[in-house]
Amino acid sequence: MTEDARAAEVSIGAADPDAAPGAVLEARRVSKWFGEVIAVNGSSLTVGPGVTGLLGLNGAGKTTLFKLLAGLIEPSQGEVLVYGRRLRREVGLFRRIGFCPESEAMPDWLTGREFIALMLRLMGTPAPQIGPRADAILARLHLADAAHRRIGGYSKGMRQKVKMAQALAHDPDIVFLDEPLNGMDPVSRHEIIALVSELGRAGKTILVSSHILPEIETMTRNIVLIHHGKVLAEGDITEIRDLIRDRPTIVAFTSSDPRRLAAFLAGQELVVGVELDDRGRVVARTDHAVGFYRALPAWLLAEGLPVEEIETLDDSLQAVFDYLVGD
Amino acid sequence: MPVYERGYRHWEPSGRAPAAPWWVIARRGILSPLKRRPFLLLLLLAWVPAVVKGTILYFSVQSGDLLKLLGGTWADVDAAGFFAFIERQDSFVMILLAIVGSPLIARDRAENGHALYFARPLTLFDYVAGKGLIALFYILVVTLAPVLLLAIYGYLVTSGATGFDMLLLTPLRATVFCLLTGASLSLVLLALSAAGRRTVFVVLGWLLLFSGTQIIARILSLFGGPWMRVFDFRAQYFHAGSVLFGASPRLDYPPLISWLLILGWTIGAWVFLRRRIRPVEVVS
Repeated sequence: MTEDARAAEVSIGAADPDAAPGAVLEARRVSKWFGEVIAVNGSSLTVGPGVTGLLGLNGAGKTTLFKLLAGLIEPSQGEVLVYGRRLRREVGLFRRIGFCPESEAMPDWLTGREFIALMLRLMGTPAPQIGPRADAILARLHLADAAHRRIGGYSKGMRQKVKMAQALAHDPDIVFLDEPLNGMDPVSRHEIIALVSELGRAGKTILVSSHILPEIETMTRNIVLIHHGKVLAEGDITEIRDLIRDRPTIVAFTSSDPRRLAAFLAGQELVVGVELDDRGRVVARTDHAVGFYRALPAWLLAEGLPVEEIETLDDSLQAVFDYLVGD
Repeated sequence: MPVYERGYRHWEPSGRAPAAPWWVIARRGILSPLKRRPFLLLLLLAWVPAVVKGTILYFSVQSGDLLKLLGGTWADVDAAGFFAFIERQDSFVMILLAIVGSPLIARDRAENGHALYFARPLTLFDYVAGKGLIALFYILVVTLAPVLLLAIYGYLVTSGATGFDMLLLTPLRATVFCLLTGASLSLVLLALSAAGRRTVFVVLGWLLLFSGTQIIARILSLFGGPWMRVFDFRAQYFHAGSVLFGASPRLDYPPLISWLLILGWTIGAWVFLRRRIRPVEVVS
């Protein structure tokens, strides 16, 4: 949206007064049935600016929740709010949303530029802005050379990029990306990850759905985990990991004086176990990782303990996912 | 101001207002087939009967009653004559709609178009109206448009017709008939298109509906009497339209029955479209 267009925006009234502060997207006790099958079951969550990963196993209800949040399907029960408003009741809100679907099916007979232009027209973009916007986004995604070729002749990665392009061309504030890295080569993956991170840092609200956890982890540490149709956890991976009390977080220290370090850590209340592994590292277990990390610098400085490297062994997204989902 | 500090504000861009979504869809769908030369040739071919009628009108004026007698309804400049002309254009309507209309929704369903369309500020009405206008446009191009031109031409070259009839009543009748039947045909075609993902099956369904029901109804009427013609899809439109044009009825039962049948399947088509068009993608 250009500055003059932004300046011409007018308020059309107040949003839902009960909307969660800072929430761009909000689901309230949302359920969705397909016949006898319940895909999403009474889930509530809020999503704010930045990149958020929506994770779940196949059949967990991830795609349904994604589409509920994107306003593509109506919930059977509960409500989904975008900026405190119901999306399908105010279709004008879709101008602030970009949606990149998972499916690879595309209008093969159109050129990349024609496709983006059509999508921009449907978004209500004024005619003089359509060409420049289409060219700009295609250039940003390194598709300028292929802009006038038919999509039918595009590689899998190029098709993925042109889908991304249509989602971003109108400069939306909220972007839904469903498995955005599918079929991309390593270089393209790197480009898209960088782009998504950049958009997140710029204050856009990006919701990325993926079942490939390392990909999500490269984009964000903020996740929503869905399992059996319910939101199992939402928030920062470390904070979520910290809440899994029955499985203490494991932290490994490389130190020139491992025995002194181990003895010191063993005496701390936040530490529930200490051992030396076969690589000579001190491996400590804590059931309160956030507090542990907060206190750690002061401990090390006060005691003059030598530490060359600290590595958290199981607060990776994969570990958190496995603990919560139990697989 | 950071994005997250903004509340919802309706976007009203400065400058010229953007096109309505239904018009964006319709415009694209109308212009795309015109880029294909065989399709343009077909459109030209669909205008040949209009040229023939115009020529017959001209020469019937020049050579008197003989050619008028030989020309039959081709030489008629009354409302019934134009109605007969529209009836004759039926084959072109069938072929054009099979080409242009069959893929309208089937292709979107196959290509995940609905998820892309409905993630944009448009409603089901916008989508159906846009798609329907494409079919309606091509119906009108080969029916109403030649009738309107022929009515003006007929008024200029013949002496037997009054301006009131030729320039007002006949165009008005033709407009009402073509718009009503065109809208109904478009909705039925869209419903057929929404039923499948493969255009070829939609084409077959359309041809069966257009011509197949005619053959079946005629065979059935041999055994079950004239009421069996209710199964003739296309004949209902012309039987109903005969009232508008003051022409002789096409079937042996009251035209009201045809109007009701048309209304019934048009509403049915709309209900089907509402159920069928969903922004849910199918991932292969």
